[in-house]
Amino acid sequence: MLLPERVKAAVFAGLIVLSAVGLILAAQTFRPQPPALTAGIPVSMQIEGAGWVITYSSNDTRNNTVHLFLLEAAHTLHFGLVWSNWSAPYSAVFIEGINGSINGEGGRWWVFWVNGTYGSTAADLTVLHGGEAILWRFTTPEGG
Amino acid sequence: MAARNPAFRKFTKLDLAFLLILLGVGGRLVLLRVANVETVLAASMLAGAFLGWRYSLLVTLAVMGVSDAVIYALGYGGELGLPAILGITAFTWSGMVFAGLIGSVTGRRRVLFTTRSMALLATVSIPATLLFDVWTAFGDWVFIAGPRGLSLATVYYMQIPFTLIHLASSIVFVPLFGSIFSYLTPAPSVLPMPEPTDGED
Repeated sequence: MLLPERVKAAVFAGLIVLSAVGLILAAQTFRPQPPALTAGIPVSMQIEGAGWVITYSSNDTRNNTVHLFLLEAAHTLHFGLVWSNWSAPYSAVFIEGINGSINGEGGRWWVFWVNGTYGSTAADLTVLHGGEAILWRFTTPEGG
Repeated sequence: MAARNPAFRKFTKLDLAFLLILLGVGGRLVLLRVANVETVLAASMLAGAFLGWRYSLLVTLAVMGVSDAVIYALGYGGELGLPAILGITAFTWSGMVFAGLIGSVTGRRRVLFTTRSMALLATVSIPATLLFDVWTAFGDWVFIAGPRGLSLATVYYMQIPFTLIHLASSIVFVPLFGSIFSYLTPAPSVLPMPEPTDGED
């Protein structure tokens, strides 16, 4: 069947939009989803900044991502937190400063480990299940 | 298809290369905080498809050079350290060069201002995007994730959602900008028909 060029272009554009939406939705299925907790979980955290250390732990937290638990610690202990959001379609939180130590100062950056394992995903995409020890360190790239 | 405005025929290859560089750099910087949605691969592929492999190299290297300079000057990637940045740069630049060469193989003469040509470009952008992501994820593992204890399999698994989004980006941007640039690209010159000569059958 010979379709006019405009019809072919419209069908093609529709297919492209449908395919792109499908791919973006498929990507979302890989996004870690923290479960809604019915009971609190124990988590501990140490934050090693520029010449200072903050420790915080809870035996009954429902903030079950690294980012949410860091927010809880900042709220409870009253220290500052700076972060930025990467936009959709695969949004994520990027921690830029903790307690006045901002990324890039003295060539140092905030990185975190969970139970000794380097945090390879964003803090809001790292799900906690209970019993984890989180370490935030303000360090040079080579110091990781 | 409507007749072209003859003014468009004044665009030279260098004009189009400059426009593609603007598209690549501008799109990359505007979409900097949108993970894996970018216009560089489209610019490189289209440069290859419309202008040939030499221009695809020019466009790719110019886009990556200018945008990387701006991005690192803004402080992005500082947490990685210089050796990792240089290593990743080698992989991302060469990955985009591959995309440009794939575009040039698609061929300038076959890419016209038609739906068929845009469908061809969109289709070719899929393996180009996959090749780029597989290649750069390997570079990520070599210079960033591997030294921090992550396995290559983990890196590739974590790459999947970003590749899906990158594919969405490519299949939208390549035909979208491809249709614009195919309209701006001078039509292939038509050779004059030979004069009929007398003869006998």
